[in-house]
Amino acid sequence: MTEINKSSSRVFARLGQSGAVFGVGLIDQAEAAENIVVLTADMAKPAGLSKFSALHPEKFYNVGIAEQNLVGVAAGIANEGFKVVASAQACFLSMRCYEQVRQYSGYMGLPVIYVGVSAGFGLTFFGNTHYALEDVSLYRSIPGMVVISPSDAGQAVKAMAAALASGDPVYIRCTGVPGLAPIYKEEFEFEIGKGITLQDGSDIAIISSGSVTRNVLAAVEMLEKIFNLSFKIIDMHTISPIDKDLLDTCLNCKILVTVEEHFIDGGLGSVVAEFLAENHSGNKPHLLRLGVKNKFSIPGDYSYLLKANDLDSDGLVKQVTDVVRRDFSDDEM
Amino acid sequence: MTSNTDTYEKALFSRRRIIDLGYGTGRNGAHFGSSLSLVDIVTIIYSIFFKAGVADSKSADRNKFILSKGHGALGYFSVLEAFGFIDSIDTSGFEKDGSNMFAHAHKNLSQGIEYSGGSLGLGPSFGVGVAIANRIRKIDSKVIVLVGDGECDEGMVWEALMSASHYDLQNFILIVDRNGLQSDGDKCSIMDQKDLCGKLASFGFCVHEIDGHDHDEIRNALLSEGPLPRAIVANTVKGKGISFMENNGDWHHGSLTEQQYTLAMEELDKAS
Repeated sequence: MTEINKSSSRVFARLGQSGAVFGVGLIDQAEAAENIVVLTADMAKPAGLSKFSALHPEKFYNVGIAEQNLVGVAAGIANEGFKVVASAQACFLSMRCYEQVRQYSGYMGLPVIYVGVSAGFGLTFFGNTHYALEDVSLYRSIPGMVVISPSDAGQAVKAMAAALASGDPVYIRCTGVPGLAPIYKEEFEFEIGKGITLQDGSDIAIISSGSVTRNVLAAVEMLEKIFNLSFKIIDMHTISPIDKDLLDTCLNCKILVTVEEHFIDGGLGSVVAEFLAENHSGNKPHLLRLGVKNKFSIPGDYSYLLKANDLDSDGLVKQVTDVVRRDFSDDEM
Repeated sequence: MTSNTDTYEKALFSRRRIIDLGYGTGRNGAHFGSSLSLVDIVTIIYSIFFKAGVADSKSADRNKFILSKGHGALGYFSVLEAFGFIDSIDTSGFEKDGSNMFAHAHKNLSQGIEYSGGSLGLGPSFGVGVAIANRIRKIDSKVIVLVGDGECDEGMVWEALMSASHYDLQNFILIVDRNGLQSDGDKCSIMDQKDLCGKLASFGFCVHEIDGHDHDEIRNALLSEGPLPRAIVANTVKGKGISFMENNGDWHHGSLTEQQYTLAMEELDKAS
């Protein structure tokens, strides 16, 4: 298992989430476990699978531009006891073959690991046909499906290792573009279903998933300079099943903010809203859900798209500031 | 392998069960047409590739039958009962509340059911995956996928067939139960597949076109060997064996009156 340290985190960051998963992590894991089979739908090169396919041609199947068949073939192989990874662009792996995923991994329970490459705005100038902004919403509604959105490339590698060990069907949503600075520069524990508290605090809790978590960290640094308030930051890498114990620890905060590179309705923000609606503690933090507005975007590069949706650090600061000023008195701030 | 007399007897037994169990659903009704069209095909598959009486779910090198046209479940259950995989107590639960025996076959290895059908077009890809896994494990067993001709309207079927051929899956056998009718009626007027055999051949399959009710023809096609994946286009009669159901699209899914039930059973008695 590749350890996360200053130098490996830099290598992973350069490769991006799927590049690190397929170009390094899965190669290590395939050496340790004989029965891994990897499939793709004409996405080997962009996903970072070229090395794996060259090293393990007998364990690698490229079914062409046919995501429905990708999922069916993956399921058939998984049915025979192999650990199967199926990968395609997140937009197509979530929408084109949604019923297939529901049938084989939901209804039949086959533990395929689905890796959605270039989720969120990852495909920038390809435009809206290629953005995956509803994939969490779709995957999390499939019974038994685990949904993970890693916050950096090193965590994505750990998520894959955990998914392979789990025996459950898992969707790993790879966000971001290669070259984003890592969040984790030293070894850390990753457990499916257990969010990571990056910073403890008591007034405002920001719960985030995916590579946009970097922007949350930068935004909180700025917010702490503006307000005399204590911010908790949670990297909620597993969106389903959600870590309810960790959410319980946020109930004493006055404001709860969710941040995700996904349509606001249906993803992490909705999961947290459902949690809050059903909680009986008597504490009801105000919820601010930040994400991609429920409309299609005008294409641009990655940072342009995040900025256009107020998901860059400045946009996050502005949106949180408005709510803080509304909910806290001058004395409190 | 069972003799012709045995297989025709088993098929007749299965047709009786289809009528009995289908009648038992009352007004809910059942998929009589498809169940009756696939009985002979499934009977011969079980007589060749499976050992009667035991659902051999533990052995990794067992042959696998995948009923992709899941709505043929009633016919499938009846054949499984004829071969002793399911007992009559279980099949008698057909479409009763809480039973595992409903309109679409649900995976249950203890009953020899390998796949959960229902959504059309999804069986062939699954079968391709199983055949690939077999090859990785160096297992020489067969994967037999039964689809309907209506089901072949689904694009995913052709994605799967393209890959079966691309991966040279000699042990993959596709059977098309071509009964010429689908839910809304006549296949050709709804969506004419034109030269289905030619299409399959062009996808890289060795194609056999047979009478899907002639046990010798079904057997010979299933036993033929060759370097290519095989496709057997079995021309069948939807509702086969019951005069008022034969080639009548209304019996794709329907319910029997008492009078119709009696008539159907009389016709099957005469056939024995």
